[in-house]
Amino acid sequence: MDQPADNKLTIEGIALGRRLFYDKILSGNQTQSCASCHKQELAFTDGLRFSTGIDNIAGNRNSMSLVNLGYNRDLFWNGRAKTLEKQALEPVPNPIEMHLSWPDAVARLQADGSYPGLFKKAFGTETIDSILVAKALSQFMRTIVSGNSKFHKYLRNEVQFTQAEINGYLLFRNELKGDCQHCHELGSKLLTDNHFLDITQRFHNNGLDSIYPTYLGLAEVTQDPNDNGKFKSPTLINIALTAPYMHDGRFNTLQEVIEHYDHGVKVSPTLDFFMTKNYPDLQAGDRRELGLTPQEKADLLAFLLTLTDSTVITNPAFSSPF
Amino acid sequence: MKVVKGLVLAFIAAALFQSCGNEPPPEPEGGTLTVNFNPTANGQPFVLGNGFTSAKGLPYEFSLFKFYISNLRLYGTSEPDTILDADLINFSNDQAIRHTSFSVKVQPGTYSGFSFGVGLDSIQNRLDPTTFPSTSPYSASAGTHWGMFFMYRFVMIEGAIDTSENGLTDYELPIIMHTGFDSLYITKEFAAHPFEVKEGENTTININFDFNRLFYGGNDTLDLLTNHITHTSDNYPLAAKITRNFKNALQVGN
Repeated sequence: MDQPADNKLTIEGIALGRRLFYDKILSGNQTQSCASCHKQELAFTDGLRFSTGIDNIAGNRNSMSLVNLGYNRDLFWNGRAKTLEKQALEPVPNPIEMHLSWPDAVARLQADGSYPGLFKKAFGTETIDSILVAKALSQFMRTIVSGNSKFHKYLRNEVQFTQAEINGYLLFRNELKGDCQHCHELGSKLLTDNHFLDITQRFHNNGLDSIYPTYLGLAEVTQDPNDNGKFKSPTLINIALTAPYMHDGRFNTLQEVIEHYDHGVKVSPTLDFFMTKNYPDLQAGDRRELGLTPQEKADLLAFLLTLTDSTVITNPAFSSPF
Repeated sequence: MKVVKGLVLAFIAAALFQSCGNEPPPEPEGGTLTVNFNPTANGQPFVLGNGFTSAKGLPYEFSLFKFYISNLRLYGTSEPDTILDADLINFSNDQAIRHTSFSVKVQPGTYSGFSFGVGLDSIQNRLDPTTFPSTSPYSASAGTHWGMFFMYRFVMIEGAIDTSENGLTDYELPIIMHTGFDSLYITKEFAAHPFEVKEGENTTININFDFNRLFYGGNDTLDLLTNHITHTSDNYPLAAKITRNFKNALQVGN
């Protein structure tokens, strides 16, 4: 995992980041922390379609899992932050999230009995600022690594798959069937493509809608209509724990997700070409029909369930220190 | 983005000629050989996102173009030696990852020619991308590893063709050409291309890559309307044809 030269992992920095992650002191009315929307038991998501901030205002994006985030090149669904340090600066002052200005947050931390000393240990100074807070949070988030699911063990030849899991695995890889692996790449064992260097390989329109509002997804960042409807491919590690699914949480179950890819993919100008490469005659407004059988859908689900890494959701190193 | 396996440097003899009281002469550092790739499409400089017109009049554009170069060997008076393990050439518009040439340290001298592989040999092809840092051409971050086969893609070309006659360049037909598998690893040889490398100096070799030769190369002319997608496993004949054409599309330039 790459680490910024000015924010290498340290034991003290990770410990401070973990404390800040779980501390409600960083929200306006001190009722929420980062962990409110990123719960360990849910692979650091919150189980809601849209998270609600301290003022009971719901956002419009589904809370993303934080596992293996240190390998990602884009943060947020639309990739507007390119480093964890920049990402970590956003939720605190966001009015629909923790809604506390950084000057006020820093003043609270500075007046706290323990934080100045913890920052001194982590960064060599008792003078706290938002940059150091973001650095500490980033250090903690980089430690949330998941690589011990049944799938990972299967790759390490430690366990065997059932026949249904093998069938699902083959479907996942099959160019003419599931073909999930182009965006949820297997070789890296991360089940995403967000670690790739080329941006064209990291954002995709997976056919949720045939018409998109102006500047949705990556287009919000690039202001390029050719990027409309393209979102970061989330990791599938622990996917069974992170419902609901998609950037807007529109699917409640993995079965609904599979149904979408089977017969719900809608053709639009920016639809990813891997979605239609085997269907050259599809026209705008059409839906792709993959034609998976009920057994194939069940097998695919069986494989997806092998991606659950229970060690991440129980690891005390990632749990609340309070 | 390069891994130098074995530099051909053996300049230890100089030390034997030291005389008492004299400073030893500086150890030669060798020369540098830079190999630079210059792609063109329909006679125009290749740029991702730019529109081109094929020899058959079809508008097309590219969104991704990268390929592996490996096992660079120089031919001289002695047995050719491999001086570059592998490198990933990437014509991304993102300057942070754009990588269109590579440089290697070589022993000064006159060479009669050179060769390199397009793709990765069977040993390189089985490497585990997760064991390499993101700066390595073998890294998972390179976006070339084929998870479904646990091997690498050798050449990746992605783009789109405008097949409609509606007057709009809407590029509705995707181009996806991913070649891989050991059987499609090829060696491009420039056996009769002499060049000289001098001590402390850089010698540059320009390699042109002509997309018209890739798509319309001799007897292997492609009809892009029907031959625009291959992931090798799903359309091996097309992948093989692209591999053959790719070899022919590489020419030494000025």
